[in-house]
Order: sequence, then structure tokens, then C-alpha cells
Amino acid sequence: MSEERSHSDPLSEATDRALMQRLQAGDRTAFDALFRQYVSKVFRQASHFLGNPAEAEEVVQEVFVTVYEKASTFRGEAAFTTWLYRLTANAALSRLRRRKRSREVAMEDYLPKFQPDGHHLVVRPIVDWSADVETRLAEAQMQQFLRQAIELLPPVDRAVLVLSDFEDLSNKDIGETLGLTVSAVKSRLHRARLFLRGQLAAALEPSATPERT
Amino acid sequence: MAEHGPERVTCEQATALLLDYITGELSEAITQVLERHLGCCVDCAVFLRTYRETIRATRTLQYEDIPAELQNRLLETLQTKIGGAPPQ
Repeated sequence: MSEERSHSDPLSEATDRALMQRLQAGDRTAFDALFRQYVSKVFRQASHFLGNPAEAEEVVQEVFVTVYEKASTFRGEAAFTTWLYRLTANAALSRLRRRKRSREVAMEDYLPKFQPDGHHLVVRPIVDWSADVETRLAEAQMQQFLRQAIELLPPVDRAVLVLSDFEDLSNKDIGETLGLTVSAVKSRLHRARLFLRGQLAAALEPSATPERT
Repeated sequence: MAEHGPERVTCEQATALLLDYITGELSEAITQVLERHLGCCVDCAVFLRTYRETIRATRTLQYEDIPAELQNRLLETLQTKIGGAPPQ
């Protein structure tokens, strides 16, 4: 497996652009080189979105077929990786949207609750489980719990979370990738994180119910 | 919020500010108001710690990498798929 290059590296961008020019000229070895270079990253990004390797594999195929078929549309104005990761995000998001959601969970049940005067609605004593997460996350069961919680997010919220917290994209780049305003990105990201916090609270607080914060 | 901002915030308002707070995107004035609230509200201080920890936990989740044999198989499949068609 080849080493992944940073997508902000100017040398990498120049290499990618040269490979795309060769591909546009009909050189299929350039396609192989691009595939080898980025297949891991595309697979991982698709796995973050979809949560299962079989579907991630299908996205990899779909994305690289598109790279080949649409090579002529790549003008090199943005980095190749920006284009590639956008193709991946949109292919994965499209699958998420088509999926039948097997478990419907009311997001509101896991969001913080407030009293009419704006104070937290909590059951006393409030539990600070922040110090327990690292230890518990070492358990495979806990990692699986968090992955499943991510899968419960609505598709676009999940896409925003993945691009922010796994792919480390800026809110502006996430907005451009998903066709959202920065304000909408922030709102969805915050809601997704609050939901996951609520899920973790329900798992880590001994007597927690979803209704408490 | 107004240019000079409020002098205090409720827990609900504080919670809404957390995303921008942890990335340092709040104005200095609003940051001060929020930090004053966090300094005297145990619920919000705990909420912030667990919110931060949730983000950290999410970021450290590990997903399987693509096995080398699958890479090879996928490339072969793709080469067959695109075999007859030149890049457009």
C-alpha cells in the first residue's frame, strides 16, 4: 500500500495534476497510480459514512469509475483530492439517503433539555462521565456503541460529522461539498455532537434516561 | 447577540455557544460572558467537559483499513469495467 499524501501538499497536488493530465491523454497507468495512491483514503472515508466495508467497497468502485469517466471535466482549478473526496462524500451520502432506516430514534430524546428559565433540566446529582470515556472506549463494545450511535444520525447530519470529525474539513469546505451554508453546517454539526453526547450519557451514567442531559 | 453582548447567559444559551467556543470563534466579549457562566454553573461546566470528550471520542474511533488483497481485486475489477472505454 502506498503512503497517503497530504492533500494540502503542493508537491502532491502537482503530481496528482500530472497524473490527471496523463489520464486525460488516455494513459491508463496514470489511473492505476491514482487508484493505488488514494484507494485507502476513499475506502476509509466511505466506511466512516456507511459503517460497513461491503458498501464502502462499492463506493470505491463507483468513485474511481467516475474519476475515469469524468477525467476530462477535471480542470485542475481545485486540488484533485478535493474533487475526489467530494465524489466520495456524495456517493456515500446518496447511499445513506436511499437506505431504509432500520431503527428510528427520536433525536430530541438525546438532546439536552432545559427548564423554561433556560437552566439545564437535570436529575441530581449531575454525573461527570468525561473522565471515563477514554477507558471505556478502549473496550470494543463501547467503540461499537459509538459507531452505532453515529449510524442513527440523519444522513446529512452524519455526513457533516464525518467530514468534520473524521476528515477534518473546515466548515466552509463541508458546506461546499454538501451544498450547505456554513451556518447550516455548524447547526447540524452541533446537533450531531449533542446527540452523540446524549447517547454516551445514556450509556455511561448509571441511572440515566434519555430525557436527562 | 447585540454588539456589546449580554452580561449573562442562560444554560440554554451557553449550550448553543459551545461549538464556536471550542474552536475559538466567539468574540472576546461573548467568550468572557460564557466563561463567567461556566465558572459558576456546575451543570454547564460538566456539560462542556462531556461535550468535548464526545468529540474526542468520535475522532479516535477506528475503522478497518482496506486489505491489500481487496485493493488488488478492486483494481482488477475497475480495469475490466473501464477496459473498453477511453477516459472522456
